[in-house]
Amino acid sequence: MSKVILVPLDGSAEARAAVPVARTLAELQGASVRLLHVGDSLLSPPKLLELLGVEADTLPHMIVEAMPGDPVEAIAHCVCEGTTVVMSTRGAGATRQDVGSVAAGVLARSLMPLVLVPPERGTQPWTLTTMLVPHDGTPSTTNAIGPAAELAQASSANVVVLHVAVPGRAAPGEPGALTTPRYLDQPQHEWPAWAGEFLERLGALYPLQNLRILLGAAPENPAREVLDHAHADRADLVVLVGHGHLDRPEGAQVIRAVLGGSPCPVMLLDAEAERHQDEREELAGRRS
Amino acid sequence: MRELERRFRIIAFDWDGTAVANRAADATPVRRILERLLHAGVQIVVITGTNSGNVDRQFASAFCGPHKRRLFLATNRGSEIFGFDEDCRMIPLHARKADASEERLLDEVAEAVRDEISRRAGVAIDIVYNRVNRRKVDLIPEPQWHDPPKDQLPELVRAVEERLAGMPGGLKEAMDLALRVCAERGLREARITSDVKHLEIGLTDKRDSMAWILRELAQPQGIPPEDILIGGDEFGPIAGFPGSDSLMIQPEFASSVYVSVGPEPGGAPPPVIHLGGGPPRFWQVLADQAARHPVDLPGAPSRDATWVVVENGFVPAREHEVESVHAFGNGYVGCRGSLMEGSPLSRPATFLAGLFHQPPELSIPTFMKLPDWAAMTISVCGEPLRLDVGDFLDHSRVLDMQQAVLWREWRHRDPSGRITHIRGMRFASQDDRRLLVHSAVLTPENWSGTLELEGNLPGPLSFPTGRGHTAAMVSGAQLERPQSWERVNPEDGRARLSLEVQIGKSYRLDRVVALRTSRETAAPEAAAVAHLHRALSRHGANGLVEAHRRAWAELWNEADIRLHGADPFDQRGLRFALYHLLTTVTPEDDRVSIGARALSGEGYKGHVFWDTEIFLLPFYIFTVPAAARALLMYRYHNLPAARGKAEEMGYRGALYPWESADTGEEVTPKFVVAPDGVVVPVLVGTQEQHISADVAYAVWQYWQATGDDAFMLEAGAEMILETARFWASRVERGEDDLFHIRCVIGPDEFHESVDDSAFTNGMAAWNLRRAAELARTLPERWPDWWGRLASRIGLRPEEPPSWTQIADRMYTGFDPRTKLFEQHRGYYDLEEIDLAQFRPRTAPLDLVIGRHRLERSQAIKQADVVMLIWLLWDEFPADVREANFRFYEPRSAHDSSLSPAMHALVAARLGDMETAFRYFRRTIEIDLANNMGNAADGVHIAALGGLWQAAVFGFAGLHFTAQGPRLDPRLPADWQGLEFSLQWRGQRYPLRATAARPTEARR
Repeated sequence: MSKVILVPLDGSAEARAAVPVARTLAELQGASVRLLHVGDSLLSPPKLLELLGVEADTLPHMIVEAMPGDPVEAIAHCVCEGTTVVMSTRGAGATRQDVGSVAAGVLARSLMPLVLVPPERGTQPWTLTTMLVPHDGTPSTTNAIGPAAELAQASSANVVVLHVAVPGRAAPGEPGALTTPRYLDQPQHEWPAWAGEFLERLGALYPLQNLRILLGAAPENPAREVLDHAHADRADLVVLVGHGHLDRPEGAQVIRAVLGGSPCPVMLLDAEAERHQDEREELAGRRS
Repeated sequence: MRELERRFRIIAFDWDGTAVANRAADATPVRRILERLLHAGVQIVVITGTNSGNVDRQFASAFCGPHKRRLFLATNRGSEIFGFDEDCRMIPLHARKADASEERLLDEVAEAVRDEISRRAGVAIDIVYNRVNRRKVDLIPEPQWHDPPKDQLPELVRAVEERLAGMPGGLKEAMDLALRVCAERGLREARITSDVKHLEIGLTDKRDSMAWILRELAQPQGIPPEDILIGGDEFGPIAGFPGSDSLMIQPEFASSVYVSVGPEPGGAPPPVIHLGGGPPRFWQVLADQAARHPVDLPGAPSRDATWVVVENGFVPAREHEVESVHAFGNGYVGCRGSLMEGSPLSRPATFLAGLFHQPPELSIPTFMKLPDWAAMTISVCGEPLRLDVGDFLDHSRVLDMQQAVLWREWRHRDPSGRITHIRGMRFASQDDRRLLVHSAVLTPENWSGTLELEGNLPGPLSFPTGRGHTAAMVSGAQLERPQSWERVNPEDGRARLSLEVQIGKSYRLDRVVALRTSRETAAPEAAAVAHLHRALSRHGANGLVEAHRRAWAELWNEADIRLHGADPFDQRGLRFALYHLLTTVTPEDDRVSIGARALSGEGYKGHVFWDTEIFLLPFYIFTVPAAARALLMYRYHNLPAARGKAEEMGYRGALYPWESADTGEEVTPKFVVAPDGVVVPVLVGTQEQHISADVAYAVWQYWQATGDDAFMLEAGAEMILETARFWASRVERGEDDLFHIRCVIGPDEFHESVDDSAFTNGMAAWNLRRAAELARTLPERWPDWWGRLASRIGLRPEEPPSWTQIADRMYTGFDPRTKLFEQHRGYYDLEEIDLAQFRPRTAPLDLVIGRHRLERSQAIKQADVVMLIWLLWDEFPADVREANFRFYEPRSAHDSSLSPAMHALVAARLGDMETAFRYFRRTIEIDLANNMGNAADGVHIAALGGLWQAAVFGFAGLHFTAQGPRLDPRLPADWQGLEFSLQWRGQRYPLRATAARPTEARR
């Protein structure tokens, strides 16, 4: 299966922040890059590149194309298996801590994997040295982080798994979920055992090197804990797994808060990717 | 034939003419079928007039194995019964031996009969004398009729009748004559039979063989006559008298099924079913029976939901906790309930109690983990059979607590569509603690082809611990019958077996593993090999299963608690606790104790804490007192290390380690890296000193409950004296003229380096008083012994009185106005935190509010003062108990698994049933709901011991008077009653608590 990095661009400087991230991801994945401009005017590829502000030699194995219509629909049309969408978190005019309308639309359609790049980081080259993976302890999250794990393996990045305990919130009901130990008989034994257990569950699926776990608690705002660690650990990529509730306030809140404040790109993965893919195919079938 | 369309459990049959054509015939075909039946558990009795040597040569000597113990030879016309021992040697089970007068009489009768027939018929008649309990009068002593085969019977009858032509009544007349002579000569109950050639005059016949079957086989095993098949070839009359097999038709066997495969020229009498066809037809009957005894496991899981913990399906991420919950053991060895074929998240482990090793990366010893003896990968036509490859159509694992067997049922469709059905059982023998058993039945449902098994079959292997000991493991395995396993790797014991299997046919794999260590024997490998050989030859897998079941039935008879009216969840939860408590302990080894996760996981590295003495020991004291004694002896053997720790810290006496392993030295880690990356020093190893008083408390409780003076003299007193000595050197006299214990950690480990912990001071004072009491009372009863002890430990006369003074002036923190004990100095000044605001909480409190704030708060980790109230219950008035529970219960974060059960216990004794039941349920859920998030490393054995205490001391209200145990029940709302038994001072007391009124022991 060939891999494609899909980069929607609108010609703005904010949008171009996605390009260096896309380049590195393409190199790590052995993927080709597809620059997509959605607009009514059909330009030649050189003119299109000029419009998008991208030099021809910026990206190896680059494809550039334009499509008319609604940007979210166009992006959805281009997404197929093996596609990772890389785009700016927000466009021109949006205030910091906002998620732009196109990014929000792509997110709502669960077009994942999706990497949203904060426009503030500009077009400086991007490397993947440290990856921060907030993890709720559920097997479905573990299953979903496959694309991030592949990146970590390809880049030999340090992977920091962050489990955030949220008092006042019930433990996930998913069978096999591993939350923090509710009881801590003897910390000198419990903590190493718990950390080992958490990492072993990941390691059983992904042979990751340089893996470590951090535990945080966030009575009020788990997103704050994630952002604090992203800063403290100088993360190059935060990996968030959605559980099919991105259209629901409680789930979206955390993700939006992380997206709004993240100092680095955020990769969004879908724990229910299969179901969402089926729904998309069903919808496409009805339309045709 | 409808009567034959069912399974028979005993098959008894005539040999010559029924099973084989004659004594020279090749018995291989019938032996093969009989072996299958023996393997399937059917008992086979060969009934024959000939001697055992003949049958052994023709048939029995050709095979060996534990199944042969189900074969019996009833020889010499009912005079003898032979069985086979573990080495397949023939052993006499029964013999009728004629005395000298009977022998003489037999000779006289035979000679008189011979003479009379000879006279009447005018022919020569011979006698065969050398037969057991009988004489054979040879009616036709002619060379051509020396040993007539059965198929020449008609010709033989004609020849004999012609020879006896001078006797008008022929053979019948000869028989009547013999009966008359016997009567005249006084040979009472003579047995006259004939095979036509001979007239046999004896003391026994096949009726005696049948009586033995009934008496020794059927009745003891509860096998009804309808489950017995009897075969022969001569039931009907021959030459005017009943056939020899007719003697097997007895009234006691009226509902048994009889078949004859002989020609039966005179017809077979009822109830015999005449099949005819000779031995080949009989083989068909046997083969049909073999088919009706399909290859199967010996038994099935209990159907009672309160006895089983079931895991359906397969969620890989749950594997570690399933392995813990499904762990099985016998106190000597413990095994996690891992999948035999493994999975990416399987963590199999086998632990031997008391066996630790020292990994190079650790500074402390940790539980030695032996290789996965039950590991077995299966390939079906080259494809691996795994849960994560293909689809499982059905998969369940059942921990059967009643039988202490882990069962498995698995139907799997591999990617090629082949469906394989596997049923399995595993257990650690309770009958012979050094044995592990695994049986599995594999059925290729829709395919034929190559089945390949590869597993650990050490033969034998040794595993050095690095701490001066070695464990040895040896495995024996067979698939239906002994096979040649190809050794894959001699170093790790892996071996492989390839077998062509047929569609629909089942194949049974049995594996038995023997374990020995250098802790028990100088040559563990050789001992393990010998042990395995003995077990296999003596019992076989089925015999081991039966012995194991019997042993557990006895254990449950002592230990079970039966709830009436309770939710099955509660009954199951209690049995889960009892099951793990019972799998964890052995009275056979007094140099081991119980780690925090018992033998079910690697958690806590197998280290031993106060859990054993305070949370587990009460169960053992009142259920398996010998095991309680062994656990206390572990502390006694480690007394030198406790003395060493006290001395190292500048004190006298004995300070037991907070964590101990095999030597009794302190093995608590010095620091831990918390998951937030902070390195936290671990102070419990030096400050949590109440463990010394806890050990003394346990010694005293054991002595009080058992009256085991020998233990007290041998070990107990010394432990109580030495721990008291420690406290006497540990206290400091303050300006208030009271004694204080400073810089300790109580059970509430949220607060470190505190002064005057109420629990520590209270237990220390108790320890000092008991030691002083012993010093007063024991010398009166055993003055010589006391003199020797005092001399050996250097006890000065002034010491014991000083202990009383210290105890009497120990600072307690008790406020008579509030009735409260201050948990430690300054506790009341700490911040009050409403813990309710953090509910529901999925993380420990120190993570939620931070370590710094936690230490400065009144939040407590677990029962502390509440624990003191329980342990010294009778020392406090009711209002003090109530006040302290009401004050501290809301402040407890229950961040320890030890906490809920103790709160359940105390709440129940205070009559607060709603609170008590809530904590009781919470304790059950610790492992069964995995609400701690850490059942993966093993079950929380102390919480399970606490659950037993909550039920027995809490709900049943067990207490003791001079007359014995008494109950003061306070049961949860729906419970109607609670039944259990306990041992007290050498007697067993069955007890029943009902919700209505206090109950006395029924004795």
